[in-house]
Amino acid sequence: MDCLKQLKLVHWIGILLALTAPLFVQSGYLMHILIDTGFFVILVTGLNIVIGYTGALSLGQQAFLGIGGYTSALLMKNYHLSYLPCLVAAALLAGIGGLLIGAVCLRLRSHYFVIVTLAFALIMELVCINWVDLTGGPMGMPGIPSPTLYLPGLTNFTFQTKTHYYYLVLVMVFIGLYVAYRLIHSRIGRALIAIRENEELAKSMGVNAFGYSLFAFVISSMYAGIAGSFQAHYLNLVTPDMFSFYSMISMLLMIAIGGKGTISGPILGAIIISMLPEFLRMAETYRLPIFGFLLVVVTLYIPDGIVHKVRPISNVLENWKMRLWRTLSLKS
Amino acid sequence: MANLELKELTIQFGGLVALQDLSFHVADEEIVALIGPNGAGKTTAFNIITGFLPPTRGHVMYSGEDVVRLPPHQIASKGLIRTFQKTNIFSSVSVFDGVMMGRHCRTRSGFLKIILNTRYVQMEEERSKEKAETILDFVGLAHRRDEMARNLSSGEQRLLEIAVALAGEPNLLLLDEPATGMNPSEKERVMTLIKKVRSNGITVLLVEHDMGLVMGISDRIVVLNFGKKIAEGKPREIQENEEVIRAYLGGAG
Repeated sequence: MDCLKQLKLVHWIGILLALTAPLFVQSGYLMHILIDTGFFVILVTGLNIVIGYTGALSLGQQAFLGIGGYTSALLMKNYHLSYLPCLVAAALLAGIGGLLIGAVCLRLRSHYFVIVTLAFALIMELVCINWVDLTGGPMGMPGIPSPTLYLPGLTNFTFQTKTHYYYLVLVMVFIGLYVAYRLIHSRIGRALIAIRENEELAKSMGVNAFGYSLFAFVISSMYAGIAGSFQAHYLNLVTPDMFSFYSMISMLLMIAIGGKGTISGPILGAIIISMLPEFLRMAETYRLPIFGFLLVVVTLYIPDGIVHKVRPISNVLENWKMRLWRTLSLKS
Repeated sequence: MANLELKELTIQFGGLVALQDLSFHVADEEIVALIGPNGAGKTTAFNIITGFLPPTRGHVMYSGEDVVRLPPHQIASKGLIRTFQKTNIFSSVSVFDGVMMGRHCRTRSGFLKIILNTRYVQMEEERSKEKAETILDFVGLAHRRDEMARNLSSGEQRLLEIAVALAGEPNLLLLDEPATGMNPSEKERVMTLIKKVRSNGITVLLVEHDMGLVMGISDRIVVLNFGKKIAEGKPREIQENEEVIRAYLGGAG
């Protein structure tokens, strides 16, 4: 559990707030925003492994989101599987999609890679719209059953209220962040960063650049698959909108504004991008222009991401913590 | 048995023959220098040996095994590790993290073990960290440990390149112009460093233009001109070799 020791005071405050949020958030709409934020945290944590650490700009993440959503939805609707196998299947199928696409795209350099990943996602959207027999076409598929947690002899719990979903997504977020943390602070993470920093040198240090880039791509697709599966069951609906480029833009914004190549950056980005429009609600019609203006300002003046501006605050808190510890230990 | 043996290595770029029938060997724990005027094909030879370029024909035998056409990362894993002519570092990570990246080919932990953070992973990580600290001490960059690599002076960056390469525990270290961009005292340091590297049992093949350095540390020297080997021998023999002098001074053929 050494990773718990790595957590700073800000992280603990964040975790505490996240765990207790349903206690003081009463409005169902705000709960929805929180759940949506959690959903995006999973998505961008995965995408950040490719964009932030390996340094390849993929614009096709929404395709894996859609694959995950539809896989999970179809399996549960048609075969009445319980939630866990659906979730695993969603992650696996998205991962296989990532493997096939990555194996092709990652042979291409920089902007060709960007274009082909985007093209793939657009194709998936068209397939989804036109394969009416399977996907229900442009109208999507309503009536996806709510997830149930079935452990033989232990529990058969159905997620129904917003609070249920909130804790479900929170568990996924924690697991997703833990995996990302472990991965990044390991030889694999270092290999990915090495590829981003200097692919030639990485190769000469024994890093199979193609293999590791593909690995990162697959892992990131699996994150998207899991997020997609969650969303399908939470909304009880899948539509071709899951494949739309708009969610990709949101993900990019979250990563860019939060700070790519850091674990906490994209979390921060996800929180800001999904919550800020709500806080700006008092400005009524000027809400979106103000939001857009803030985005421009942030990108211009904090190009590395907000996370780097938050660090000093976090350090101040750390100092307080240390001082508190010291006074406490002196008294005892 | 020769540690590294090049056999009739030839590479053509269109009509240009960049290397022609280059053969030489490097024995265990030897320091061999590859020299020659600009464009003689020294770096090209390095690129072929380390898998960055496929030769038109010929073989590179390493410990009795033909490594030609293996991808660079596999060659590195066999213990043949290089540095580059142009400064090549992981610029936006710290000096220490850069050296840790060099540990890649000497570590094994797989994805599942890493996620579960098993005992094996922790021990391997500990060992890598110790090794990285030792290497930073060894090249004299310990005091710059937490500095961002791009903030080092150009001489320090060259040392860092060697440190990163050493982190992979090479059997054969290939240094491409290690002293470029260094001042005289730094050159002195790099000379001592290369000798220390060899005394740790690592074979060294280097390309270098600084004749003081080359003559000072090499056991043998191989001279290239226009892609062909024109001489091979001990430093003293090379200094007196007429063809070598002609190649460098460009006298009437």
